[in-house]
Amino acid sequence: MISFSERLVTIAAAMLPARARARYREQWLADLRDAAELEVRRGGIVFGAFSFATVAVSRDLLGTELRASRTWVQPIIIVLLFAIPLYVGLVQHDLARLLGTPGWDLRGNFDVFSMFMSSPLLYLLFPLYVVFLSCLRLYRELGHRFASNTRARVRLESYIFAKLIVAAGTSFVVFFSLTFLLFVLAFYVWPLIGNPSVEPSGYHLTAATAITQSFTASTYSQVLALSPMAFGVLYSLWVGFCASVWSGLGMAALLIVKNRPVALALPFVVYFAQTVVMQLLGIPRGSFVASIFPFGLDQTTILAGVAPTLFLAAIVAAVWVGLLRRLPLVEGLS
Amino acid sequence: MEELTRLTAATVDVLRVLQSAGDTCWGLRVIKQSGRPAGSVYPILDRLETAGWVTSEWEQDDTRSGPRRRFYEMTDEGATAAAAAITRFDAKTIPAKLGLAGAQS
Repeated sequence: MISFSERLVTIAAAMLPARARARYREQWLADLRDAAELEVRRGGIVFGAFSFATVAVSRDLLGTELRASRTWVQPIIIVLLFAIPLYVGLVQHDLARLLGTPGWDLRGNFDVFSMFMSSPLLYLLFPLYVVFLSCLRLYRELGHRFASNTRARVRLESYIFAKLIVAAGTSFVVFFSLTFLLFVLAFYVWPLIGNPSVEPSGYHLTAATAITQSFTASTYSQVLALSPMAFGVLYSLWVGFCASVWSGLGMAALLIVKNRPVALALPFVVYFAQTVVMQLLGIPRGSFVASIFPFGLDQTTILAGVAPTLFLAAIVAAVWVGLLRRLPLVEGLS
Repeated sequence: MEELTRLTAATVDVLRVLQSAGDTCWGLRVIKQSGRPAGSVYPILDRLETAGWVTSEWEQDDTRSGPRRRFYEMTDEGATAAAAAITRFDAKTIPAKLGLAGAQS
């Protein structure tokens, strides 16, 4: 009877590209059988097999996926993403003030950052940007049944999982970079150019009290008490994570919903509808929007702030676990 | 044969075992003798094989039933490159280790 360790290395071998499966399955089974002869731990061999399979799959599939998933839409989305907050911050808030006219409406550098992040074009359309950044390749492939033709060469689960990782990773990198760049602009570049439009005295504050007040300005700004850099890094990581979650939802929707345009729009519909419902219920801080972009709302605890997105992340993870088990039944892949 | 893009301490340990084996060497023995975990050794052997430093083949023992052992052997070019790589690695790391030991004593 096949032992548990043998079953595990068989699974690890099955993760490999087709050309390597039989060879490593036999090699690892032989190593397991003879491990006692050389006093090598069987657990080490199992772990080694999984490490090897993970690296091999990552290298093969993620490399291919990373090269192939680039589309002409992505640079447009990225340029748009960076242009919107800069437009709102620098033009809509009056470019003349940047050029030396006395400031008037910002208490400190956190307000500058909030100004960049508070563009409705950015926070209301967030899932749309994520989906167009990360899900278009799967959208097209499902259209011409590319994935089903790939099954002979690569395990379907590995293939789709690699797509999920690349989509979530792309979203994470773009939104982390965007948020961190705007943070650096607000907290480090803005003071270098004389803090245009920053006038704490207009609020009966000093520069020092404006900083202290920013700790309670909105959810997550309490991290500023540690240091601005801690806030910048942690908040950027959070926005990147949120983008990954919405990307995961978009990818799952494409595999579940038969109508692909509807599937592509689903994350935005969920995001928007939940936010409207929360507004109607009188708890705007419980919305997905506020969980990612809490600026302009009263501060709540960090846990309460992250809760809506973490709840969504748990649902998306559960959906993916179910999906990966039933992939062969998914229309467009079978 | 391709150059290795990075030469880690674990890779050098695997190369030493293969070099000392002279002839073919069972993959599991490389794990045992290098003292490195299987999770490091399997990918290194694969990388060496892909780069053309080693070749591998199944054991020829007909008396043992069941799955066959995989044996690795250095190619001629691989053996030369391995010797050079080990010398290079030692030249870089041994003085550093001696310096550290000197500083501690």
